[in-house]
Parts: sequence; structure tokens; C-alpha cells
Amino acid sequence: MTPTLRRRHQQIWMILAILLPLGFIASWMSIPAPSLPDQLTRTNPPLLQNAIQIADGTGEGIQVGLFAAPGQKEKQILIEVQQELQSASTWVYSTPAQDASGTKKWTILGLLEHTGQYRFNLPSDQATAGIVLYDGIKQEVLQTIFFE
Amino acid sequence: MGLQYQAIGWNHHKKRYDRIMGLLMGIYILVFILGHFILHPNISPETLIIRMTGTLAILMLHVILMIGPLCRLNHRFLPLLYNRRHLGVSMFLIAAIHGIFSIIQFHTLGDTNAFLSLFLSNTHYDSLTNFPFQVLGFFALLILFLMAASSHDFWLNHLSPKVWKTLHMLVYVSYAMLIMHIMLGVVQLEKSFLMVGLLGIGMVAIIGLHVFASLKGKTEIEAGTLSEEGFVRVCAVEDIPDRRAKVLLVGRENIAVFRYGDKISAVNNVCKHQNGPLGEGKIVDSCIVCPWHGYEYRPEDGCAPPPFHEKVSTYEVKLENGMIWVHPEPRPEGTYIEPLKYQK
Repeated sequence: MTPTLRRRHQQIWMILAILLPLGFIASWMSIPAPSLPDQLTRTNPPLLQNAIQIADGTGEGIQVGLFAAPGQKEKQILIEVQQELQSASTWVYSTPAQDASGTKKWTILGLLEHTGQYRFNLPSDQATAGIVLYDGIKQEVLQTIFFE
Repeated sequence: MGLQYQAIGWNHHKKRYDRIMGLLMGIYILVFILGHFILHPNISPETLIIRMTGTLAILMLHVILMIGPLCRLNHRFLPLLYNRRHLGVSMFLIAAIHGIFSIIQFHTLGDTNAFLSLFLSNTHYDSLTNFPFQVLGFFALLILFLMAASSHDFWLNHLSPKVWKTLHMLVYVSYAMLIMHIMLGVVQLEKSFLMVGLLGIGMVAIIGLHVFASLKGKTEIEAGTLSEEGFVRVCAVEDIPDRRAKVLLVGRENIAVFRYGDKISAVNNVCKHQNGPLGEGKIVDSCIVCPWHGYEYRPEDGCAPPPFHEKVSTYEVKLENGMIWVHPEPRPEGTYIEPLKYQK
């Protein structure tokens, strides 16, 4: 390697040694809160004991149920994805009211990746009018399903 | 007369290198698939492929970027450098699968052209939180494509080593974009501590190795005392291990002084192939072997043995009181200079 080329390598890495950690930290600091739960370790929570369906909704290829167990404060949303979704990055939010719009007003629940059944526990004090399916990559609402 | 394209000849070493590389890639893929079937049995094949190829490509890129500084710090890593291009092209192919599947998966199901969708579906270019991270991956992949497509020696000869090397140094830009692609993408989307931890360790290791190697791995010795005849003192004979070299910088001249048996010769330190450091190589079967890709030169005349035609400059050497001296004025490339003999 020529000394010039070696010097250039050295200069590039000195610059990267400063810029890359800065970018790394800035990216970490700008993670939106609350963020999507870690998909590597996510598992379906168990069905609520003796839960009964208290509301349901129907969307495109999706059936949604809201469950609650007598005597328990916790509620659970059960989503049945019946056909492959049009978006590969479908995030699920719960929305407290029909007129609530924007990710800041919704509560992130998780990610739908394939057909099957998904269960998400909801905090006891949370009002839930329905769910919003959101494309996290394109950042657009795919569909909104309200409970009846 | 245009340059001719010659197919690559796979020798025994290259085949062995490729077999080991293929085996390790196969093991990674197998472990990844098995792990996902245990943790996420319902994962779709497309998502599995995107995750598997993305993680494998970034892992391979880290290995590739570590090879250079590791070789400067310790010559035992040189076999890894010998066919680094095979590793690079393989990494590009894996990354290309990741990119193609991602575009199909995320951008072909709408009513907008997939490439337009890639650039325009999310236009928050002014926000770190919502930055369209896939665009970074696209440009990084474009650089990797240019590198893989021009990896053959045909392009090296056609573009000249200087231009070719500059083009291939864009890998550092690509690496920086990929780090941000991952950080602004999967890490922000899923906040995976495992992912960010592994990526952080890899990044620190690479930066650390490169900076450390550039500061500590300096192989050149500065020009010493000048004699009346214009010779420059190099070092004592015993300071050069047998069949190895000391590298000396005198002005713009980069000189490698080799000792082999009871002989001493000096040639230009820069290999004609890719500007590799001949002085970091060693003499095998009477030829200097470039540590980067095995190009060979005879130490006494700087010529590659037949049927090859590469030539490097040679330099006059002399011995005084056990000290080697070299004249920094280069002789025309391929000029024979009688090797200096000394009593062991």
C-alpha cells in the first residue's frame, strides 16, 4: 500500500470514529416512546382465564375480539388474521376513541406478520374503541376497525 | 488494443477458502432458520429470508472490514486477505437477496412503482425518528454492487489501481450507511437490545481495529543517515528476519529491503496489482510474494516470473559495518541488480 493510500485510510477511519458513534447514539436517543415491543422475544400472552367476548369488529381479512374476565381488571384483544396482509410491516395500535387520530393518541400493541391468532393484553384503565392497523415502513394507516 | 477479459482460475487455496466460507455461511443459515422455527414458528418465509440475509450480510461485512487491520497487526491473518474478494462478492449476493426481498415485501403490493414507493412512501428525510431508512440500505447496496461488479482484475487493469482502489474504498461509506440503516430501521422499529448490542460491539471493534492498526501497525522506518554517495542507512542485517523485509520511506520512494539466505536486495514496496505492500510479504521459492493476492516478483530484478509481465523498480544496496544502506534513486522497473552477499 502506498503511504498516501495508508494516510487516506487513516483519515477516513478517524472521521468515522467520530461520526459513526454520534449517529449510533443519536439514532438510539430518537427511538420513539413507546416503541414496538422487541419482536425477537415477543410471545402471545395466555388467554385470559374465563374471559368472555365483550365486543367484536371485522376488517379486511381480519376478525377482532375484545375479551374481559369477570372479576379481573385486565382486558385482552384477540386478532385473527385470516388472509395474508397486504403490508408486511403491519403495526397494531389500540385507539381510545373513534375520533382519535395520530400515533401519539394510540397505544402500540405489536406487529402482525402472518396469518394466525394474536393476543395483546390491555391495561385495565384503558378505553378501547377499536384498533388501527398501520404500515410502519410507509407510515400510513392501512385500516381502522372499531368494536361494535 | 483493448484489455482482454480472462476467466478466474480457481487454484487449490481459493477452492479451500471458498469451501470454508460456504460451510460457515451454511451453518449460520441453518442455525438462524432453526432458531426462528423455535422462537417464531409462524414466521412467513419472506420475513425469515429478509432477516436471515440481512443479518448474515452485515456479519460478513464486519468480518471483511476486520481482515485488513488484523493483517497489519499480525501476519498470521494474511490467508484471510488472500481471497477477500470472494468474501466480498458473496456478501453482496446475500445483501442483494435481502434488498430484493425487502422491496418485494414492502413496496410491490401497492399501486405505486416499487422504486418510487421506496423513495416517496415515507418522505420524513428531515427526521431521525421517522427517517426512511430503507433508502440508506438501497444506496449502500448500490455501492456494494459497483464493488462486486468491478472486483475482477479486468476492471482493476482497465480503471488503474488508483481509481479502482478509490472506488473500493467507498465500502467505508457503505458501512456507515448500513449502520444507520439498521439503527434507524429495525432497532428503532423494534428496539431490540440484542440487535443494538451486537451492532455496537461490531462497530466499536471495527473502528478500534482500524484506528489501532493505523497508529501501531506502521511498518515503514523513517529515512536514516545519508552517506556521501547518496545512500540511506536502513538497519542492521540481523534486524531483518530471513526471507522478510524492512520498509523504508525516502521522500516519495517506498522501498522494501529483503534479506534471503545470505543475500540482500531492494525493490519498490508497491505491488503492480493493487498497490499491495510487498515488504509485508515474504520470499517463497526465490520470489517475493505480495501478501494481498499472491503476485510474485524476483528480488534481484523486480520482475514477475514468466509468463507474467509485472515489474517493479529495484535499488542499489551496500553493506558497511553490518549496516544495510540503500540508494533511494530507483532503477528502471525490471533492472537486474546483483544481490548483495554477506557473511552470516
